[in-house]
Amino acid sequence: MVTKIKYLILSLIFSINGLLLKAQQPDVTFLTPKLAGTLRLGIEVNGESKWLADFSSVKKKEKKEETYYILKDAFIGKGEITWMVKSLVDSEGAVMKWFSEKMPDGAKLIWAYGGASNEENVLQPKKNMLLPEYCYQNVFSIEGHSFTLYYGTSRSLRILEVETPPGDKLRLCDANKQANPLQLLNSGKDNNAHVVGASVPLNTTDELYFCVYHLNPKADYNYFMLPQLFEDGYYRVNEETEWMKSTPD
Amino acid sequence: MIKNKPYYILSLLVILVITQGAFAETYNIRDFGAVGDGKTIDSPAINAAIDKAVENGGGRIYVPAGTYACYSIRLKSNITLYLESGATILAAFPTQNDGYDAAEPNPDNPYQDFGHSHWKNSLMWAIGERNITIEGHGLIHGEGLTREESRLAGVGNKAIAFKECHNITLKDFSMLHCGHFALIATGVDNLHVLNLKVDTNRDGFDIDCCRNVRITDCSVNCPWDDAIVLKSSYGLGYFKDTENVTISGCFVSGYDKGTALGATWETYEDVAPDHGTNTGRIKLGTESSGGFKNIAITNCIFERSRGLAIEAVDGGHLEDIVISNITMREVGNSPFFFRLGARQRSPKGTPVGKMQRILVQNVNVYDAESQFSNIISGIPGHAIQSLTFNNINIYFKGGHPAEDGLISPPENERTYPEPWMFGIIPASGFYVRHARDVVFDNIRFYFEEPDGRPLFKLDDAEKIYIDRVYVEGELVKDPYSATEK
Repeated sequence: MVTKIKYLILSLIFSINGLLLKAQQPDVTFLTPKLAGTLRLGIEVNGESKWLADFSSVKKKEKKEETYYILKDAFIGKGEITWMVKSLVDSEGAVMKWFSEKMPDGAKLIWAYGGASNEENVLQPKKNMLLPEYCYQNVFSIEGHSFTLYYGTSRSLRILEVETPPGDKLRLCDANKQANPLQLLNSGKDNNAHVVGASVPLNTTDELYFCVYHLNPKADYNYFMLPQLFEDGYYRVNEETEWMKSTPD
Repeated sequence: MIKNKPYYILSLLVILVITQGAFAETYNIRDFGAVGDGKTIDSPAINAAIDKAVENGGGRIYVPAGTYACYSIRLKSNITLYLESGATILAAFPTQNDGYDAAEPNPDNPYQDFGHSHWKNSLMWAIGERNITIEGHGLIHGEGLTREESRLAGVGNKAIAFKECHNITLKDFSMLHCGHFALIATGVDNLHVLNLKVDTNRDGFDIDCCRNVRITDCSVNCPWDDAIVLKSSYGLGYFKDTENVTISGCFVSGYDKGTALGATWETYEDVAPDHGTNTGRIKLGTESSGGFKNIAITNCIFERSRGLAIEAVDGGHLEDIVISNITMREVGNSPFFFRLGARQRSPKGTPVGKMQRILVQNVNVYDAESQFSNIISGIPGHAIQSLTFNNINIYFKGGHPAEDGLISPPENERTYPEPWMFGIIPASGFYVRHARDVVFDNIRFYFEEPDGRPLFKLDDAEKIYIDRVYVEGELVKDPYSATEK
């Protein structure tokens, strides 16, 4: 078990570090160990929007099993974004923390997730990994500000859980339309390359969290748990409860 | 006087009924503190109204227009929960400090899924109660319920759950986004489900170990799972058949979630979470530890579904079934999938079940995927018996080469039953294996693209009678010439 977790954490760090080779990529691609999707981030200000990956200043700091990004750009004036990614102890996945300050009035975080092709060896460090070709038959079950992503094949189905910060309603979007975050967010679901996305109003001093993981008896999270999960890397509540794997019955 | 006696008695009866209605006690939930703003948690007020009614021997719990955010509502005997037009019972999302009632322990959980094994972790539930009605033209919106597998305390996964109750009526209301089940009824006798409109993200109605059930005039849209399902699990901790059931006048479908109730009928999401096509079907099984007896399914419409599935795989006896007057369009799977298997998700030692005495007649199927054609499959030593197909039209997409007719599907006796368990089927019409005494009469096939597989393929099949078979309107003079054995 210990060996397995180590391997998975290494996979995750590899994916983040791989993207960081460019030193401008705060998007997070998950390899668990096959491609389980990419979280892409952007900002909207007064009807304009920009991907964080295109920001002029992206500084990276790394600690053990934790990566920090400090992001600045003229697009957000004097604003500063801190984006932290931390591997989970109990599941293949990560918990992420967003903190921003001095943001322009009306600024919103726009996020999108998708592209879980369940393929191996597809990581391309210098490219956006939220590609339409990775989105085929990704099925999103949206429940409030959480969603479950079904990917893989009928006979080898993979299931990923994602917690996102409260904001506007989650919606399906078109991975073919990513010129900017707003284009993606407003692209609609009439396509065969679905990703899910939403916008979140940014209030001063808000801390926002994301968590991407595979459900298991030790890793079963609700949004309110994420601050503690981020601090400790684990949050266990189900160890004493019944746990049966369900069928499609 | 004698001449007018019937009218006199009728008048007395009418007065009696009206008087009874006038004296029925009504409990308005607002009088018990319900706010109806969609944010305040109103289930404590509704439960208080129910408790007061029970204290007085029963009554009508009135839910006026408004949106009532709720966690678990505990239904009790002799209660009618009336949802006024414009009233919505909204399932709230659980929080750190509040949520749905905890799932009660069930030592028999290993024999069926978590959702089938617990009832209290629901928006509305009753265990061991009787004479309960939910009615009115309001809405039950299960927004805060999950269809997924979280086991966190406070999480709810069903809209309405009944266990070991009797005399239950559900009538006229709508249901949206209801988690694992819009309705699960386990061990319920005398259940009437009438004129419901359901549009949900997993199962619609799961009728499990129930006796004497009427499901009438309902519309159930379930793109991501089965719409109306009869089951006989071991969730009660003992075997009990599902029997004496009618499903009539119902519409089952697989349109995008929420768009049937919203009447926009969208079709942008054509893959279910299991990566098959939209589900939205009527099914017997999969849980089948007990049996199914005396079931009639009639005058129903399927659209964007996986067709009709009849499954006995856990040891129960499935028998005396009549299916008639059905029309299906856009079938993404086998229009008919009949499977007697040996999954045996039942207490150790449960023998393999039986499937027998089934009549299917007057069915029209249009626009059906061809790769799985129709499947009638028992397992070695356990044949499906006494099955009749009569007056069946099937419009398949076709398009398979003759080589596909040489495929020998795996037995997969213990595999979860779904047509894809066998891979591509070596028949363009019906694949019949481990079956005995099967009649096909007046079967008409149409193929959008030519299909090189044999119409019928028989394997370990005895007493199979095939008569009056047509392809593209032409009588197949010797249907056995189009049959491979």
